[in-house]
Amino acid sequence: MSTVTCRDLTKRFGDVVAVNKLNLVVQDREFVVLVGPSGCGKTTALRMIAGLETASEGEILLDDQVVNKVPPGRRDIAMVFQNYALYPHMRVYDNIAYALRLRHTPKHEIDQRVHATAKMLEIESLLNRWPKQLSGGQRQRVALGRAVIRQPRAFLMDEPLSNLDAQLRVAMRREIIHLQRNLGITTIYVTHDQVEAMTMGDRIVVMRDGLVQQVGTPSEVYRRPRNNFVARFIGSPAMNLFAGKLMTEAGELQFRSASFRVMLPDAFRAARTSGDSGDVQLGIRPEDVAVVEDRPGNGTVTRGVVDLVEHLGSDAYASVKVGNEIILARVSPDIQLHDGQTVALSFNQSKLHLFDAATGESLLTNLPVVTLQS
Amino acid sequence: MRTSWLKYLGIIVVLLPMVVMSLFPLIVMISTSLKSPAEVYQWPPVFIPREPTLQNYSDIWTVANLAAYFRNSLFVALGATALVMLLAVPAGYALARFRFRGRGFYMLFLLVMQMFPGIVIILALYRVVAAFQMTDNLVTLIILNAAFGLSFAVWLLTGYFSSVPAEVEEAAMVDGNSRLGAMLRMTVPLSAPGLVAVGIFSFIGAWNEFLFALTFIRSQDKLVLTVGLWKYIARFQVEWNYLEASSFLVTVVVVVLFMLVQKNLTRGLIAGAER
Repeated sequence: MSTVTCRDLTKRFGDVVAVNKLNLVVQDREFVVLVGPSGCGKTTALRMIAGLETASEGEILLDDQVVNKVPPGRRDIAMVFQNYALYPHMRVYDNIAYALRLRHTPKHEIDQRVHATAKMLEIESLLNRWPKQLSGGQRQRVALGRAVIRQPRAFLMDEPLSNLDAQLRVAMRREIIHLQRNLGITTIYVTHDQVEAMTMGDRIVVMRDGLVQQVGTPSEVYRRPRNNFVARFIGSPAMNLFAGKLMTEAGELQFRSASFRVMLPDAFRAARTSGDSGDVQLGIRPEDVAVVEDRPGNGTVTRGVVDLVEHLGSDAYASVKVGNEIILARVSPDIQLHDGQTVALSFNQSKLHLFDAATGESLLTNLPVVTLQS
Repeated sequence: MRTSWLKYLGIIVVLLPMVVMSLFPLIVMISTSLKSPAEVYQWPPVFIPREPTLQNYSDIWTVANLAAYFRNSLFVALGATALVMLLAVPAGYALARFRFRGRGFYMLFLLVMQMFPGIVIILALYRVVAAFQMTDNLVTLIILNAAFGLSFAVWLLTGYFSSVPAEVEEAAMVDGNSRLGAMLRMTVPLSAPGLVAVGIFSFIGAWNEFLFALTFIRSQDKLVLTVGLWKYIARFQVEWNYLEASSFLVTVVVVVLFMLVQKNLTRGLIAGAER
């Protein structure tokens, strides 16, 4: 049980900065997910915390102790690897017992703890098998068992579910959440899968090119993305983003793109772009775009032609072509839409996002939250 | 069916001459080692001796100091093998696990060194050995054989070590091992087939070596098998029956070892490429 702190943690490989001044405090018992596209530095950050990479700059603290120079084996942390990294020449029992043996734990205690761990993970019947005799899901459980048995100060998990098939992944996701809550062990979890990040993390750290883009709870990151990268990366399907200009016409603030215009709430008046150009990006998630009946006073923003409808069962997504742009809208699967049909779209005014076109930063971060979450 | 039969015939036609060519000396060796001196020189020669005898195999131990040659060869081959292992394991590990400046060049350098024929540098080598007053010393043979076997051993072990996932070692390090501990308890045992292959290959290399042994060893009691056979059994007049009997014994050692190792040897060579 402990906190993990990164202070200005930086890793360079030659000229490449893999992790750039990472600052993060993971609280005791907290489940933090590092998420980002491949090459964003999330795994490197995790490996530095584990001690498998040395930090180029900055500090790593476990509780109040700087551990930069402490070898991985003495940090009292456990790690689960993407490919499980079971010891191929040891049976499951010995895989799980290995760390305790290295610590000269008494034999009867090892035996008792191995069985307790195996019972918890439902792998008791596998203790005598070799790793190569196990399925992917079973290997994953053994890898978890190897981490759990130590009761370490922190769990580090590097994409532990990415080698499993979709169904098993969902099941193991839940198990890991339960395991972490029951054991109450501080956990840092790396994934490129934003669904895993949203469902598992108490907090999410979104990374890109070695830089932290945003830290927050899943709902914060989803509802108030700090820049257009986070806006596009978190959420599936991705948020619609349109390039255009902010302008005032007849006292009304509006966004105008090449294909359509949107009236903006008054609260957006405080938004200021970095230059004077007024170039911005307007963002709206597919679920906040509605296909509506085309009549006045219905909040219609624009009209377009249905390009494609994708049915997911519970939902359907319609790609609507407006001028040169495609707007993705979530629609009820019961609505009969056919390709080529002309439809009217309306945007949920309280769910609009506005980004500076030059910097990509959100222009709404300084605005009071109440106006946005009405 | 017809085509496969034809194909089979084609393969035989192509391979048969090669098989005959490579097996012929071995057959002659075995056949001669079982003949009496009279039968050896009989014309026309026969392949299967009319009165096969094992007499040659007991005579050779008294005709020449064969036991001493065996002992010396064993000493040199085992010593060279041990030295190769001692140096090639850490070298192969470093090449497999660490990325450092000059790594690629070094690998290439090893490969080129491997192709160097010993005879090219034997003169220079002699002067070096003489300067250290190490001529007529079996330890010299150990060092030279190890030096010449090392590049291949390092190359092979690099491939084997690379095929062990680094994560396995890292998991062991997180579990509490030092890097050295993780190497010795994970990567090395998991590369056991490669270690055996390298060991046996080094042994065979040193066991068969002739040129250095001929150049650097003078005393009769320090001769190794290869030179001993050549110098004493075949010195004044060639007693073919004795020579072939001794050669057979020497070859058996190599063949048995090679049979043990051949599967692992090819696996080791591929292992590096698979990643």
